[in-house]
Amino acid sequence: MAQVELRGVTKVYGPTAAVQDVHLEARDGEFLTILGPSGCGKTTTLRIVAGLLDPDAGEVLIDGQPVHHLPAHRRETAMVFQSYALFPHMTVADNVAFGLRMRRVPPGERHARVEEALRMVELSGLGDRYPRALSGGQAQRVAVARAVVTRPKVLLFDEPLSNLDAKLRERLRLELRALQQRLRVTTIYVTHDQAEALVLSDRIVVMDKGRVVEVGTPTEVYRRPRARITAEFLGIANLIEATVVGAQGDRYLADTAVGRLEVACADRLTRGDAVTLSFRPEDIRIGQGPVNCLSGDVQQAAYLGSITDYIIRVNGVLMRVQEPGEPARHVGETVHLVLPAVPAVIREQ
Amino acid sequence: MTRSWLFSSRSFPWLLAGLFFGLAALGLIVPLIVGILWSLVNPRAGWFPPNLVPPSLSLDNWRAMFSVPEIGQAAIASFTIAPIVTALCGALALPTGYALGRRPVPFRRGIEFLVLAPIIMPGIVIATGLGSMFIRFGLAHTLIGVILVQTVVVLPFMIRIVTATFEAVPQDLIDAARNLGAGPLSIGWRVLIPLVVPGLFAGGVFTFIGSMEEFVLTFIVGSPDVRTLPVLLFAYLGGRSQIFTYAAVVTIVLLAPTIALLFLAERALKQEYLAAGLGKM
Amino acid sequence: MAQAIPGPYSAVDRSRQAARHRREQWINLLLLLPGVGFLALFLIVPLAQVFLRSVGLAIIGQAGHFTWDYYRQFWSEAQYREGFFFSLWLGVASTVISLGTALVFSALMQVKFPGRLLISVLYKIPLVVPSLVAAFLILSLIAPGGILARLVFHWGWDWPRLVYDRWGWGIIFVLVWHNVPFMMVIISAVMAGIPHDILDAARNLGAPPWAVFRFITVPLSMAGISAAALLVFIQVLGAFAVPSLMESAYPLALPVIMQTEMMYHANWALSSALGSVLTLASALVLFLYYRLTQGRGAALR
Repeated sequence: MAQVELRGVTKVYGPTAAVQDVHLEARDGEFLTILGPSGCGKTTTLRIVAGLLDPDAGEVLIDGQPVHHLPAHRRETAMVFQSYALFPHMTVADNVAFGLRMRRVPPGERHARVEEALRMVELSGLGDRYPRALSGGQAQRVAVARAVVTRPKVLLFDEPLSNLDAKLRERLRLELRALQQRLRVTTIYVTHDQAEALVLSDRIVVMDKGRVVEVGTPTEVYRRPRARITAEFLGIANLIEATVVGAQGDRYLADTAVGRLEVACADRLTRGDAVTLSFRPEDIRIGQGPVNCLSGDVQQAAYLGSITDYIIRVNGVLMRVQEPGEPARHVGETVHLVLPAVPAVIREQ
Repeated sequence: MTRSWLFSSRSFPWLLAGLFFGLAALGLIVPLIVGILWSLVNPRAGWFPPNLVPPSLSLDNWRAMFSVPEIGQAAIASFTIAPIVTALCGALALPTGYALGRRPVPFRRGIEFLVLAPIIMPGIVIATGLGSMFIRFGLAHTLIGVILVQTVVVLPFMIRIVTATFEAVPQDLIDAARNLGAGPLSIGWRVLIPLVVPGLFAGGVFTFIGSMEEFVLTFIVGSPDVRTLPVLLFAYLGGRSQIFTYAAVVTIVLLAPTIALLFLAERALKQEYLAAGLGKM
Repeated sequence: MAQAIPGPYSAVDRSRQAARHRREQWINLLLLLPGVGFLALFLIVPLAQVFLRSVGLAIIGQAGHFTWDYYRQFWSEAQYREGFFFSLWLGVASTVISLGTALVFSALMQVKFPGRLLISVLYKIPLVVPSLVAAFLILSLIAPGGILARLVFHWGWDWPRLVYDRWGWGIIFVLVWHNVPFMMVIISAVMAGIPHDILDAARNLGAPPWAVFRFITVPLSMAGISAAALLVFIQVLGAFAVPSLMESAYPLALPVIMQTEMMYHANWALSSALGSVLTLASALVLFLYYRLTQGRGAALR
């Protein structure tokens, strides 16, 4: 277990910066997820921590010691690759034992630790199989076992679940989380799947276009995003531009394209401030209400099994609203909406 | 991108560069220069030890190329035979490659082995067998005989490359074309042929070079009446008289086009064709 | 509603299937006839003749009878026997040295160094240089009167005897010069085909570069490596041109002996027997190759 820190890490490819001035910290024993769209630099960042890439600027520190001059095979990180990267010419047991062989662990202890690792990922007895005879889920577990058996200081995951089908993904991510908690290894996990990020992480780092946009716990980044891209990327967000025009009691009044809204905000706002309000579809209620009540026409109703997803046009603005259960409103119907008084208030430019 | 992880020393890549360029200089450049020098040796002065460079240079040996009939004849023979062999291989390999690459064919292993056989058999044995067979049919010492014999040993490469090329055409493309209304001839002309042309080109380059350099079979079947440049070279290098000066001239006439072709092929071809043609058995 | 599974084909379907099958076979035949037919005619027939002749049958101009005499002659007379072993030695030595060199060079070529692109083209030049020419160029370099000899003489040293020697080192040198690029092309292509992720995973798990090479790169390149070694060995076994130019008076390589017997003594039968021995040796090596790759290759597919 160790603390990992990136300071000012930059990696440039030609004219583009894949990673730009990234500052990042993973605390001891923490499960930190780097979340962002394709091309945002998250995998590059991970590979820099692993030593598979050299940063053009900045430092990488593990437990306060700079490691960016150490080659990959001398850092005590272990990575689980998106493609699993199992050695096709070795059995499962030999795959898992590889890291131990490289560290010159004697055969007896090696054998014991391999058995233990396979047990941890519930693959005991498959030691003699070859990777080509494994299913996707099994291969992924072997990759995990191979990484954890070396007892690394830092565990790195590069979108390990993205090649699996949805059901398997859901099951495995819970197992991964349980494993990490049992081992208490500092873990950095890269994904573009926001559900995974929310389920697994102690903290989430949101990256976009090579930069760190925001860092926070899952609740913080979901409920109180401080950047537009965070709100847009995590779940669905109704983003509405607003201008603060006054205050009423303990709430602010803001003018928007859908009307004047009452908004509670912990930060201090002054008249004239331009902000973006973010409303989650599940927080908007269809019906009447005393405050923030709007009226609009239903454009679409999509039945998703447990919920129905509506697109409702209010004053020319399309808003997404979700209600549990089967569709109760029809396309073309005029409905009332109540917006919550506590949206996320985003103050970036 | 990936760091030079070999040593922590940053100078390792430069050491490597030094090693490779040093070897290239010694193993490639120096011999070629020596060869060129030999072709420029003044026949009256010669180039004997202990001289490190020829005492005097002249173009006499090159002029001899035109005055000594056998050199000119050999050059003409080589440059005539090679294109014909290439064309013949192309014609023979195209249907074969298509069948092997895209159709379920019976006795596939047997056919593949047959195609492989000329490569894995000692050339001298093929030469012996064909030599006597051609004598019986009166094809020995003829141009046609040489053409046929060279084709036997270069055809496998062409077939393997063309087969690999046909195999690599994604079935999806053909299905899409058929779905959009193309008949078999249309598919062949508009889809398959354009995709196969690079493979044909690669195979053609190999075949041409292979034909230019082919020695054993041409020697046994063709000489002394039909002599290509390699056969002539052999005469100048072995046997009773070693004429290094003429050998150098023939060498350069032989090497210049083939090396040029090599550079051309390097730019136009991908490694996959080379590996496909040679690597997998 | 899901449909019921259809029952056995009706008679009409079966005959249509059969007709289609026949037509497919005719098309196959037509397509394969030019290429495969050519090879069958000009390869199998002469080969058969060689084998027949080696046992005393099918000799031009005389009726033959089956005999092992020519094979016996091969084994009992020292010049033929030792010629065979000499060819074997050339094959083994060239293959081993070429392979070792090519492996190291291929591995080094995976590292980025300045000028790598140029080298990657230059090293292929020997591929298009016929072995004859290579013999000439290298002769002019390392022969007793060659450039290097003159150079060291200039400085007062002696140049060792490298060509026309009993062990054929000059021959081996030329063959290695010719074959290392050939092997490198194949091996480099195979090495480049190894997914980068797998190499990264090995490094990530603590493998220093030489360990990655030894435990990952080489095992996964075995198919290409064995193919390269096989091709080179068989080619050298049957090599005629270079040994003919560069060997000492004794022993002579078997292909050279074959040619002499054939063209100057008109001893077709003996020559065929010698050729058959070479072919059988090649076939044996090929067989061993297939056995080796069956076991290994299975893991990779």
